[in-house]
Amino acid sequence: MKSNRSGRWALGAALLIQALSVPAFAALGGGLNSVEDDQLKMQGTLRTTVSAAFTVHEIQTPAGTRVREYVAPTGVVFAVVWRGPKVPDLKQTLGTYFKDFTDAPRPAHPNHAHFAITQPNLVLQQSGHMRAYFGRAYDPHLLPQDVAVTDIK
Amino acid sequence: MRRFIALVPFPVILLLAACGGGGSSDLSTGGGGTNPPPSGSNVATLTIDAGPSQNSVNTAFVSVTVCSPGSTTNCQTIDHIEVDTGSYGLRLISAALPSAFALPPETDASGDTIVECTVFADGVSWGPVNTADVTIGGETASSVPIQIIGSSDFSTVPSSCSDRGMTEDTVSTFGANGILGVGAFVQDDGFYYTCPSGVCSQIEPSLAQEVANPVALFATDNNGVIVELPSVSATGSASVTGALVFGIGTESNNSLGTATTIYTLDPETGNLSITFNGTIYSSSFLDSGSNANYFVDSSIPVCASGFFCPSSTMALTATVTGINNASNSVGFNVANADDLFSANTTGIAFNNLAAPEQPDNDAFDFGLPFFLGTYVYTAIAGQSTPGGTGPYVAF
Repeated sequence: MKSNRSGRWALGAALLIQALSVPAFAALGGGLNSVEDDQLKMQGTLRTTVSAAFTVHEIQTPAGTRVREYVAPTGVVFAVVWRGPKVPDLKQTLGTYFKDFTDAPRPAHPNHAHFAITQPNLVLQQSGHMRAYFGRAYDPHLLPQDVAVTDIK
Repeated sequence: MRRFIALVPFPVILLLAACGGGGSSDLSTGGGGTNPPPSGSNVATLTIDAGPSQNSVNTAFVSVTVCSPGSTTNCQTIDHIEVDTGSYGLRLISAALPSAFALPPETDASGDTIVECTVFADGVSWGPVNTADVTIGGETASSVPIQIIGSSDFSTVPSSCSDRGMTEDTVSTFGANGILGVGAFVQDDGFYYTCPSGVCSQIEPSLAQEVANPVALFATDNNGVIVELPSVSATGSASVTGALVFGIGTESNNSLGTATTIYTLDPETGNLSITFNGTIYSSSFLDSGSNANYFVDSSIPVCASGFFCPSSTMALTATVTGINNASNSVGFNVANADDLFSANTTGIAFNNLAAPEQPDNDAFDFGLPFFLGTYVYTAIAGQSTPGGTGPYVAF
């Protein structure tokens, strides 16, 4: 039983889910030790999921929005995902990439329900409408070697 | 996780007759566009054109008249207000109003003006809530809370608003003179503030104080809308006129007609399910405010404009399923966007324009291309109609 379980750990096929009372959260491109104030600022509850390739910190805000931050084994946040009735504080969530987001060129044709950026250091897409928004942002340079874009959910 | 195989039957509605008031498929050549435009006090003209910033495609506009509550003289009619079934409430860009025109601000118990931060997927819009009598077509709603975006009275956007996206407070950044949210809810559930002594902090206004869908506040014909847009050819159109009809089953010109399938919406989000290529996308929606159909298909090339650019036009099928499990398949085409734009340089309405959605968003968005040739009914939450109680869509 026990060896079976550790074997699965070695394969990275098992997930460890633990509830943390101490916030540990970071913005895109930031480090775990640098920022603990995302959760505080969002006043959310935190859940952490650990796999071999990355760790996911998930905040559930009081407004019902879920923010997930993907942390590489090196401790760097390489992707963030948000989903819910309200758009979260994206300056907090995107960190230094927020300026790339707000400075991005406007789309050729106006559209309030979709926005996308594809730049060398930032791929971001936000969609949705009032009461149901979703978005994802990652830095392709920061993706760990064994992680595919489709792993960011 | 969402890779279910679709077991939904596929009764493709290719040949639904384009009868008065009814839905029709946008696949067939004889769509709903052959109908004469409806007339009546519950009808407002819809226009698709390049818009005030001259770069809109697949955007339907309407004119709206706002008056000081109770006044018949302190009024302004503003054209090029985007009609959006994906939002709730009327918002006007301040710069589109004459500088001398003023509406009374909505205030809290302390007399401070209530200000809203509206968040769209592409940016945030900041401005005070004013009260106005709102007339669209022949229908009037009294004392409606509306938002004045980009007002010089509240020129500093608080960081808790601007931290949610880029600011779009002008006609050119917003792409319209305003937006009319006629979706399936009354209130917008936005971020509200007051700014005593110039310091803004968030408040929780009463429901009645929130910016509201004016349709729900009309005296009659207030249970929903029909967006009626004609079909266009596969090469697009340079000019489209349609109708925004108020009420569902309340007048002789707004019966459900052939749109007999009622797709109820999630009462929290307004979403339903759309199945495409065997995957169920459970956060899907029909949105007149989206300028293309947005969905996941990694096999279709994307061009620099961000739209799909297949080597030849593709005929695809998706299945729309309401929360009530009512379900039907819909055919739609995807053309090469670059070819569409280069072949029709004055085109502003294309029924075959599509763009990629991010896979994990779990969404398929039938945008305005879906509405071209298919009359789409949106019933407001809690309002009764001959098809049942909203929120629902029918087409």
